[in-house]
Amino acid sequence: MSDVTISHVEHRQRIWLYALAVVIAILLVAPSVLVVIMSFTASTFLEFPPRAYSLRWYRAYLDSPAWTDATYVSVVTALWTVALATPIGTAAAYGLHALGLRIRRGLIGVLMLPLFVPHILIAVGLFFAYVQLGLANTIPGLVAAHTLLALPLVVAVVTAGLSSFDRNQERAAQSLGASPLGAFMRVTLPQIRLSVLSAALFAFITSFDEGIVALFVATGETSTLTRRMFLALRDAIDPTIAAISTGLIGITVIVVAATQIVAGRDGRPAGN
Amino acid sequence: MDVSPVAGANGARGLPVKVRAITKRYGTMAALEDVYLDIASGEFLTLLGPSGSGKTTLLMVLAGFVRPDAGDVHFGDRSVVRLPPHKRDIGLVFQNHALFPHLNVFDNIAFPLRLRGLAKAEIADRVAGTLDLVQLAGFGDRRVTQLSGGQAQRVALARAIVFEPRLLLMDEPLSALDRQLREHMQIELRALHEKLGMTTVYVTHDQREALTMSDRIGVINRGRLAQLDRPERVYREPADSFVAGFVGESSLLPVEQSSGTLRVAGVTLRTLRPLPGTHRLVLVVRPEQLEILESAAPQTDYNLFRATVRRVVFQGDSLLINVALGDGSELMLRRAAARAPGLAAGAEINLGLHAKDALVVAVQS
Amino acid sequence: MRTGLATAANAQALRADAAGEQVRYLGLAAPALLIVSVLLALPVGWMAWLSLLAQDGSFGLANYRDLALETVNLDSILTTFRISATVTLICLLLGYPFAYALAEMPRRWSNLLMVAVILPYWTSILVRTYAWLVLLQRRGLVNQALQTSGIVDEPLRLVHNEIGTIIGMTHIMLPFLILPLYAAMRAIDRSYIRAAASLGASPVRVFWTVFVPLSLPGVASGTFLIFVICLGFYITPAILGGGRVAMVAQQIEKSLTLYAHFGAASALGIVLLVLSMATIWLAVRLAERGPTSLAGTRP
Repeated sequence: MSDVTISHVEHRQRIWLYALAVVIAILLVAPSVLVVIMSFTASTFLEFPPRAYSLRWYRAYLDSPAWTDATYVSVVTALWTVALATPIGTAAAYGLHALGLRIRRGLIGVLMLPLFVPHILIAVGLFFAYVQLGLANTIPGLVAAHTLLALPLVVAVVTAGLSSFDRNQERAAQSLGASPLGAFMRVTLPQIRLSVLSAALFAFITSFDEGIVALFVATGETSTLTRRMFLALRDAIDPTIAAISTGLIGITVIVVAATQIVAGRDGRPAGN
Repeated sequence: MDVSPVAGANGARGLPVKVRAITKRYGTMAALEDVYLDIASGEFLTLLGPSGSGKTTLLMVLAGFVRPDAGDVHFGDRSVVRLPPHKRDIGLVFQNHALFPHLNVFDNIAFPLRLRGLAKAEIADRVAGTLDLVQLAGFGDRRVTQLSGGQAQRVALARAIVFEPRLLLMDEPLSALDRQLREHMQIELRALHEKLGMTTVYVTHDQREALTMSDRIGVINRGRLAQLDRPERVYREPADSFVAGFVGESSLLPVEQSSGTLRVAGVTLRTLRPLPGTHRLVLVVRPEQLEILESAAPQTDYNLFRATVRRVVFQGDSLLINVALGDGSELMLRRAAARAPGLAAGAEINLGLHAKDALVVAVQS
Repeated sequence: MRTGLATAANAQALRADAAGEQVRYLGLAAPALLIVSVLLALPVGWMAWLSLLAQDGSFGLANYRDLALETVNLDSILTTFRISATVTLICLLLGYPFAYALAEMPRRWSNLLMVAVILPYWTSILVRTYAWLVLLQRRGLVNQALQTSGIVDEPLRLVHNEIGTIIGMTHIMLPFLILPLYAAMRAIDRSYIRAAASLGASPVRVFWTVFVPLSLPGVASGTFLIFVICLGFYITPAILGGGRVAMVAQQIEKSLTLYAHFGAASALGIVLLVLSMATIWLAVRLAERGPTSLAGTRP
């Protein structure tokens, strides 16, 4: 690694730029960090720095059936989403990878649509449709919606993993007697399992953190954690939410760390 | 799994292969055009040609990974052209070895045996035996990433022959190796072929390799078979200018025909070789066939050319001499370094080409 | 020996085999394609249908007419565009130097700083919105800092208004811009820059005449992406805007839940969809034409 940047300017001369970048980086992370710290406050107001520390708001969360029920709904929905989106998305990525380029591009465009349609429309539209179909306020309905949102991510991540996989190995396996499915299971899958795992983790966060669709589609008993948070926020600033937010941030950190370790690559999530 | 049972040790006899009217087009480009080919049981056939000529496509048609647009392929008396690759029971070695990195050497080689349901003890036996055959005894628990290029290719070979296929296909397996290793492996491969007796189809762009290893060579140019013959015949009697230019070193000089006489570089050509019936002809001159004559006096059955030396290149065991004829066309001469007279650039010399060496072939792009 | 007839029959069979193989691979992708098309077609189709149903039950473009006439709807569209454009601009001003700095630094440092982008990227939008809600209050941290440092005497109204919404949305959208921009910058072929430098151009000149034009495709895709997402934003404006900021998404929700105007809500939703798709189509066309058209000069 040289002392010189790509533009052949010394790193030293760029120091003001790097300092700016560090400041922006801090600004990006600071709000979450501050919320985490404030969640440990002992008072009923959120203040920084907290005058006294306590776990009372975490206890408030655990003691409230409304919150814990909502968490349960969120977890179950997220797990079902992973169970559906991962195999369906992986199969799609594999199938499209094997097809010709022209067909592939058009169909991948369709699969990526959920990323570009405003979620509010998906939420409202599915609400209308679900009411007619009797799927409103049901977990299956929510799982279907979250699977829709997670599929593009899974397809993108697995496609990226497949593109760096040497197809000759699959051919070698077939020439040695393995059927196409056998070759996939014995040779391809073991080598793209890291991509598939990352895709599954991303599908999990996508469902767990999702707010808008859950807001419209899952009410009452099937309220998710994010929905309850949203409604609570509109009414009052309850410090319990800070505790819940810390929990959500914690899960995000764990999942992202897991994907980084799993991928062993530099920090760029797929799905861009 | 629809695979024929594994024959007993050393009982494998090669499959004869018949290729009929195989055509493969990609858009408007024809990768293979109406190819006919007969391969004898146990033969070592090399498909030789430049990149893009279609030789790998033809190999992949035999393997089943490229589906032709038309035509048929027979292994023995069975039509296999519509059979998927995993049912063809052939061995295939790729250019980049394609070993499975998540398995060690033993598991790689055992892979086809496990698919065929052999017992653990027999698998261990065969793998060990095949490792011996490729001179990698004891390498069983190495990881694929720990192997050198030559070792990896030998493991790939072992994996492809451990289940004793009656047909072995190889796609430029040695081109990633350095020259010394490559020449060593060529001899090993040929020995293995003779020991095991399976039919082998070998693809390469290296004409030297083809000449060394093959029973017959099929020269492929732009999707067509230009010549299919024994190495000596391909070298000494190339079917057209493409084969002449691709196999062995040669200089090609255009030949003019007018009322029964042939002229090359302003000199009337005498030849004892048969002439092709086409109009556009070239003279094929191999560097070792040109003689440097003392005098310019005409001799019977010799074609004489006056030439000026342009450049002399030292190539270790021989000298490569580049000369220009009277009309500007260039020729290559090769002389053993020890025997060369003191030739230098600018010297005027007399070249002689015996009429029996004057090979005239049709022009082929 | 030429076996013409047999091989001619083969051609048909081989074509059928090839087609069968394509169908099998498409079959693998079918469940995903089915889910996406049905679950997208369903809501969009239903909304389109509802948008054509007037309050009195008649079928026609009445809802769209009312939409054009009702100022509150037009206002929400204008507000949405205004806020989205502002957020996009601020993100660009902050994000470009950040991405550029990361593209220039040694990998180890840039990987470290990228964590600061990825963590917020994957953190729930609700959580991040909540964080700003807390920070921007009258007694929140930002006002505390401003007052103790003497910049202001009284706490500023930073939340439950447009300013808070813009701050929150900028923070949330920034990673969406930085990630593709960084990727594009890293991918720029350094030999262009070396060539310019070796020809005697100063670093500043190299930056403006070579680097920036080459980075424009990344800029374009990033800005269009966040602009489109901003158009449909709901959660952050709802919470940080405190009901005073009416972007299209809020308007749709209000029509739906408060007034049960299914037709009006759907019509507005379709308008939002058309605007979003048009923006993306524009972005794709610009991307297709390549860096030369965007930069106006050849690299």
